[in-house]
Amino acid sequence: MSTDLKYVIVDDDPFNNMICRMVIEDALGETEINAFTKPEEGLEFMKENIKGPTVLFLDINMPTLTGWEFLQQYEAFSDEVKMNTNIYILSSSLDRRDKDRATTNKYVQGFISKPLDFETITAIAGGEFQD
Amino acid sequence: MMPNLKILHIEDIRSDAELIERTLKKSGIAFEKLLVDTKEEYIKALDEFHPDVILSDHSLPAFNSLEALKILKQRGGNIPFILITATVSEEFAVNVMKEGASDYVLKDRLQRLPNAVINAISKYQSDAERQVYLDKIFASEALFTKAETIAEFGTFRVGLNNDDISWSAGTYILLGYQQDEVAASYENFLKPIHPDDVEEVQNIIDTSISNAQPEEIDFRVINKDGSIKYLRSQFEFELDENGKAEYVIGFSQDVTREKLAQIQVEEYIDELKAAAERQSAILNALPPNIVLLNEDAKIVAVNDSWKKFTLANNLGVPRHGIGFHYLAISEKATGMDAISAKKISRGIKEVIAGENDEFSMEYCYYSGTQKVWFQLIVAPLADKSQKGAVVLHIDITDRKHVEASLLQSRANLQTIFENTDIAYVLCDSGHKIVSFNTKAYELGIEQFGKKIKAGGDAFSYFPKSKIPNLKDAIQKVTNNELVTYETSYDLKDGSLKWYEVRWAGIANEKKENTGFVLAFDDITGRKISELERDRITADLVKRNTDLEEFAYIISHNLRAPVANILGASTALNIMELSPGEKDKLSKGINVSAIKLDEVINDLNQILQGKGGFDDVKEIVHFSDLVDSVKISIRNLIENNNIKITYDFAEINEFLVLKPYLYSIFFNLISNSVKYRRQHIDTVIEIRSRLFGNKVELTFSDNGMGIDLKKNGGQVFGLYKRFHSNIEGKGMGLFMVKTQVETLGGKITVESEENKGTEFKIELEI
Repeated sequence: MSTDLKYVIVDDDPFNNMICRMVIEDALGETEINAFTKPEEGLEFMKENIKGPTVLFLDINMPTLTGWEFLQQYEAFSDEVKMNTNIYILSSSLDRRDKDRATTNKYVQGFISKPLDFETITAIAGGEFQD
Repeated sequence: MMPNLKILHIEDIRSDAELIERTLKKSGIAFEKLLVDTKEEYIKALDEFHPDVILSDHSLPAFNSLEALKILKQRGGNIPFILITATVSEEFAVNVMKEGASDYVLKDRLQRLPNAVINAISKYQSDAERQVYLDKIFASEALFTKAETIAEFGTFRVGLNNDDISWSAGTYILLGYQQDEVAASYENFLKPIHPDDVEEVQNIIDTSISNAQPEEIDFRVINKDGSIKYLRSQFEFELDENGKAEYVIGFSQDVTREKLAQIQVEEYIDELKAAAERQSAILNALPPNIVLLNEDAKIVAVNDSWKKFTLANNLGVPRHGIGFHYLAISEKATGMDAISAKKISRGIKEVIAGENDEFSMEYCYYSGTQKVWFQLIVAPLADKSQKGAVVLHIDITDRKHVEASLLQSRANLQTIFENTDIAYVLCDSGHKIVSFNTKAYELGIEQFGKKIKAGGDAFSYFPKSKIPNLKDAIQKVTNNELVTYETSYDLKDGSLKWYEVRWAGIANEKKENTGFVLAFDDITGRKISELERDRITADLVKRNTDLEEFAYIISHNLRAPVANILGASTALNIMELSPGEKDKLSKGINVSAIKLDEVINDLNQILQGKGGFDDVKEIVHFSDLVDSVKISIRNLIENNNIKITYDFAEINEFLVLKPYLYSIFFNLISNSVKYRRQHIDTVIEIRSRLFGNKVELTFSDNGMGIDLKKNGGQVFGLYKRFHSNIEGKGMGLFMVKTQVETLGGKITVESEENKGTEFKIELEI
């Protein structure tokens, strides 16, 4: 398991972020995880701090900036950021339209229905995630 | 008695002269005698004495009998010349006779002289008479030839048993020959004859000869110049002593002029006949019965139609009534009533008398069981030399039937026109009303308070505001376009009446517009159900949208706390956790469970709100609502120094479902409180305005505002939130909008970030 992989979580729900952090650490041991409840802050971080392989868990429904709007701004980021980042939509949504929209976005690797669980994070870390 | 004979005597011997005078006197011949003995005297005597006879001695001194005879001949004198000589040889005597002497007498035989003189004179007389006769014959022959030429005739004589054929000069000319150009022969006679006529001519001649019967033939001759000449030949026969034909004598004459005239006359006659036949054919082909009347109103001519008519009506008069009095027949034919008969009788009389140019009337009668109609026209004869009239009977039964059926169909149309639910107004091209039905009259009174009148201006019945539309419609209708639209009119009782209005142009046969028809169809019933249907459709669409929204809420907002509970409880079960972590998770589960409950409560509230039509409306004072809200959030207001003012001077009372309006006030005021700006005094203003039958409520604040450019479409969306730092579910504005719409109003928002927000609500009273 690659210990180089870093994790960023953008979700306005702090409890979800806490659960994610616990699940990731439980599965992968000590890992660098940056969680943001304000998407604007998450963008700011991504822009400057992605130097190596990173996994981003992105929520869709956030009051000030939706996941889709987040991705629009992400598009303008440097190639270094985009090459190093694998984005997964992490949403409580069961709406099929959300999943369709996620899988057709070229920056999105997959759609994960909350909650994030042990098997999923293990698969993502091992590069074996199947949508 | 013979007149005195003038004797010129040439003699130089006196005794001989006296002896001869005595001899003559003795014979009893009365004479006077001139004696000459020179040439000069002789010539002078011929000129002046005019002798009847000349006696001459043979030899004179300077003159002789032969010379005298020569002079006489030279001068054309035709006078007997008797030579008296003493001795003469037989040879000499013959010679003198040859030279023209009538006789010779010897001097010693003078007793023969008187007879010789008398013989000579009588011979000369008969000779002269013969000459005159011959001259006459010659003259008459020239005359005959000339006559032949002028009269263009010729004669011929042909021997049947020999080649003795003679043609007169005229015959040559008639046959186109120069005189004596060819021999007179049968072949040359036939040669110039027109090839079409040759055979017939030969046949007639052959038959005529074999029967010895005089005959006459006409035939054509082709002239050398190619022109055609018509000849007529008549011939007879000279018979021999046995009564057999020996000679044919013929007489031919040029009848070209006569023939041509005859041909022309025949042509004229043919033309006249053809014209007459054409005219009678035309008359016969004409369907009307045509009868020609004379002055006494008696029938003089009729056409075929009349003949058929007389047969069909069994008139039983001979010659189709020709010669009968017209009225007697037509009365019999038609059984027309006495009044009609009288009228017709007078009409005909007046036309014949020239008092009237035309007489016309229609009448009907029963032909069997069928009623037939006729039009009778009487016109004077155009020919001024004749008095009389032409009577035409035209069968107009079909026309009458058509007229009757037209009247019937017009009546039918009128019935339809009057019994339809559609109001019709017929206008001419100058939009003057020509006709209208009862429905239109009623509509005029009901809608415009005016009685529609024919001749009135169609525009004058419409409200002024509609006239531009009408002009537009007329423009289109004039171009034969059909104009259809729906329009509504306010009734005095405040209700609305809907009409479908149709304009249709009326065009004549030349496709020129002559006016238009205006049709008003009352479609109020249909329109109301249409509007109802639209409302139901809109309602259904809205419900469907709501359903989709609920599905979305369930998938997102209901699922979020469930997912948290699921994640946290899994972690609690399978992870090795520190007590602190366990505590955090269990608290988180609790929070999520509370959220879940809230969402379920919200949904319940929304669903109840949407269905709450049964609530009773009551009078609400806006000021009371504001006061109630202020009390319910008293702590917030007081702690944050918030100022709430209102102005309901214009309207304060409102009949409404109170819980809805309270909820609207509560949500808008608490939103303003919630999204206030820090560090400034929050001011919330509420006021009411009255616009017609509408109340406008305005809620404005000086709070944080919303970026409408970004979020405009989502302001009133369920669970839409625009501020992450402030507690909120994105429920309030959704509820406000839903409730405003339930009350039949609408809500709009204006806002600017860091300036404030203003909501306007419009509600119908």
